[in-house]
Amino acid sequence: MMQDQPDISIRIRDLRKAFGSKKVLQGIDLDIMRGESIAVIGASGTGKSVLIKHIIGLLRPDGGSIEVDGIDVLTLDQAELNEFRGRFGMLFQGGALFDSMTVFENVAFPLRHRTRMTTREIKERVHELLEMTGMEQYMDRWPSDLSGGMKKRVGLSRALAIRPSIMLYDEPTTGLDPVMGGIIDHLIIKTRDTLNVTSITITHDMRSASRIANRIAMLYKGTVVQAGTPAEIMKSAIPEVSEFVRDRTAMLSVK
Amino acid sequence: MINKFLEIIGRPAIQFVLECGRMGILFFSTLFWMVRPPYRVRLFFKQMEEIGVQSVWVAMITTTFTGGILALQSYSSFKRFDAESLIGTMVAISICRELSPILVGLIVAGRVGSAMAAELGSMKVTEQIDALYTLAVNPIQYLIVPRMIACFLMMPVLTLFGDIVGISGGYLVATKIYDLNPITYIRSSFDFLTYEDVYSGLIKSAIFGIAIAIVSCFKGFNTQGGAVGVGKATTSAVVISMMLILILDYIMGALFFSV
Repeated sequence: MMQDQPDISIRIRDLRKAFGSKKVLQGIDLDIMRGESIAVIGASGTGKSVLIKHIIGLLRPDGGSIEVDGIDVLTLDQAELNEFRGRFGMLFQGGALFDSMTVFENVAFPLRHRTRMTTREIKERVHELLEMTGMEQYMDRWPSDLSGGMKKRVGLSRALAIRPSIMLYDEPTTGLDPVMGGIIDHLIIKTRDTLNVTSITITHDMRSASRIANRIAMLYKGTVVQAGTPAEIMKSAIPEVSEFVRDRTAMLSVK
Repeated sequence: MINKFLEIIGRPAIQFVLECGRMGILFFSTLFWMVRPPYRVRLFFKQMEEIGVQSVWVAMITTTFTGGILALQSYSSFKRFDAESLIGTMVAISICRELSPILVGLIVAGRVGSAMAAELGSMKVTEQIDALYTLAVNPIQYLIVPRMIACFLMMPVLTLFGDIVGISGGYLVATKIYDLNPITYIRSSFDFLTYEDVYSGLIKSAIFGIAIAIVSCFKGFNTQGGAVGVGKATTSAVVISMMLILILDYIMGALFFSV
């Protein structure tokens, strides 16, 4: 199927998931093109994180299908899934740095475990990666000594270490001051443009979404109510979408 | 009314069965990941050190005093039958078959099980375990496999040390406090002690090791709800592994080692 449409990177069809009696995803349909940057927006509890966890195979859906680069995620066994995840990089909300390792060790971790690089090559690559996020002077620090934004920058360096083709960002600007939020947004754009990766960002920050995304998809009650360019979303006539956009923009002006 | 009553009994029962099943699945996934490369030898030695070397002193002190108290308490009763010469036999067999494996198991559950649950639990709540998944390093293979193998191998070693110092504790009390003849005591200790007494204890302790590692890692991996959650996971890891040790001990004793 993939051969016919080479530019679709991720194809999601009728994805369903319930936790107990709580239906979180109720039939998601979404195509994500190769090299595009898509932002998935929606209020908390609408299933944004659950959606991402399905894409990288951390959760199994109750129904529907997910194809990534032509591979049906649901047919993979444990070991294949482990290999499969190598094509993703993920930036977690709190950075998710290993707190028993220094910044250097954190970024070197995927290189040590996933490549056959020599110690010297690893050192050079870590320098390069940390330079990209402007964190090279903090190499010997421990994660507990870093601020939230700095942790995310190190987390981004680590996620990019084994050259993923798809980057996932989980609430990249949540909990950051506007300046740091701007820096992170800038890094996401830079990553997309220089490394040509497909980016998926889940966020409820409208300003950040319209800055980093070519396309925005809005989740509401477990379905995609609208997907379109930032301009289309801003001017949306669908009540759930326009209400969300209005609320978030209003919140910004209060700040 | 009846419904409500059934629900009160049924809900925890279902929960219990589910939890046992999920622990079983985790155990088999751990076996699956154990045989697959890469083999991370350094992590494994680090866990051996943490689990084995650092538990040696507490394990030995505990078993020494247990051997001592066995001799001390049995002296007065054995004396009534003029059977003081059998104290050695009694101490040696009790220590090797039951007390050393159980006490070492309980100590490792408290010392190591709690540390495992707390460490993995805090990794879980800060998404470090999810991060391992996305870096294509399987957390079961990276975190649980070395812990389980290390527990499985170090428990019998600790238990064997416990056997030796436990018997020595009994010897010290019997000969230094009650002035029993040292030669008689040593002979009575070893004349009746069979290999089966020793290795049944060692096999049991290896199984306890697996139980401690799986329960504690399971609780760590399933931690939810921040710092409070980590505390809860740690407590229940220790409580469940301790109970499991005593239950498994009875089951294995009844099935295999009762002759």
